[in-house]
Amino acid sequence: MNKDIFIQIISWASAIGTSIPLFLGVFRYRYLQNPLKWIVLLFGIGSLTELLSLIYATSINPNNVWIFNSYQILETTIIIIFYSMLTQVKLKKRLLYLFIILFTIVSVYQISNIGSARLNDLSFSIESIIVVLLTILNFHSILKKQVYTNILNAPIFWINSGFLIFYCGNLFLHIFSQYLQAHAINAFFELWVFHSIFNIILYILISIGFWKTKKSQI
Amino acid sequence: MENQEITNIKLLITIGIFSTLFIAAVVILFVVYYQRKMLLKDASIKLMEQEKQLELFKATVAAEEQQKEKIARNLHDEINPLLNVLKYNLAKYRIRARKNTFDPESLITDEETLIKVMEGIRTTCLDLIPSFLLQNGLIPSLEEYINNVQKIGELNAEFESDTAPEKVEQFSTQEQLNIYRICLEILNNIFKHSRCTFFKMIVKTSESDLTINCIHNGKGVTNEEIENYTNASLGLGLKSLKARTLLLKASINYSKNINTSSVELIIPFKQ
Repeated sequence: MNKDIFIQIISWASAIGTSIPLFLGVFRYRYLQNPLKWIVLLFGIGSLTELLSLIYATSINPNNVWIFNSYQILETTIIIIFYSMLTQVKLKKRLLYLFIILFTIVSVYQISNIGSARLNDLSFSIESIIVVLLTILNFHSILKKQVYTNILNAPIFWINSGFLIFYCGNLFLHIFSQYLQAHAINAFFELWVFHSIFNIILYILISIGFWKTKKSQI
Repeated sequence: MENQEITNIKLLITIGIFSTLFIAAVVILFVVYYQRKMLLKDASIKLMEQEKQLELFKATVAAEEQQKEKIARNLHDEINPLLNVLKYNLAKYRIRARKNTFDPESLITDEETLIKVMEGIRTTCLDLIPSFLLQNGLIPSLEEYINNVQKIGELNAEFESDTAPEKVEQFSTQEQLNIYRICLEILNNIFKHSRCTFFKMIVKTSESDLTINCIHNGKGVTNEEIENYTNASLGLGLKSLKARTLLLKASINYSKNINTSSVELIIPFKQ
């Protein structure tokens, strides 16, 4: 298969794939506990963003990066709210809300600095580190509490795993993306296929998480 | 930028991506492995506890069976022959009465036999439930027992209590009976195995519990030793003791020193 065609297929699969967890989330919505409803909202906004960016790129301006930069702030906010709802400790909740405020300030400042035509990689790197830490802390809490008889049946395990793989995989890519965009744009597009692959992995794992949802189980 | 340089950077980023991905995969696999390991550990602990409980239950049932066997033996070997004698005598008296040769004085021996039968039945009943305990309560029963030990004269036995009877009345009759039987078993073990010449029982109460401390100058045991004896023992005494202790949510502490050793039974009051 031609490399370009492969990249195109993966990119399209990544863009369309966001609707699968959204569809499953809506389908199982009445069984979902409140934190998981935020993940459905995340994929709802994600799907809308994909659609909006496609329309914008085809009819207004091919450079639709500002849409993704704005979405990123919303994405981080929702993920942090999701993890804050999983903790019972008030101090941790407050700390997470503080993270949201700080992250939004840093992101807006960075966007105003780099302009609307470039990806806000600094914020994405910060987001990756925050989410990876949150997933690890959540895994630690799961192991400590030992509430699941089979962890593979717990939706939170699949959602956590999805976020961990997605943000771990993309971290390195985003750290170097600014440099690549400036010096080797072709290499950047070639490597960006990893981002799409991790997107697909995330959608699959989140979908499994929603599928595993039963009454009164997170 | 040169092609070689671009290729190197691409390779570096790819290695970086796969390294972080590998770490993420390790974390996820570790979570699954550790969770399963902990679950298996929990399951094995629960199984062990269940087995222990089952063993104690069996010991309790066996102790009850042994008690019944003892009662049956008493009735069969002691009471039954005496009743047979009485039956034989009654038949003999009926014949003599017909022949007008019946002497009422001959009933005196039968009266004695009847007293023996009554004594035997009373002893058997006492084995079932000590009537002294029912009438007077736990503390006087223990005191009475220690006084009887003292009267036998083989060892110097003392009893000391600062406990008001209403404190002990917090326990039901069945619970008091269980405490009494635990104490008797402890005393029996001390007298049998420690070779003590002095013994003292001290009964104390606090807000939360009743403490019965048995101090003696014989050979003592530690908690670990008694646990080993309980697990290894084929006899029912220690297992029945443990079962009764569990029923009362009580604890027994064994300690040994050069001069004096002690067995301390602590029974919590119901909150």
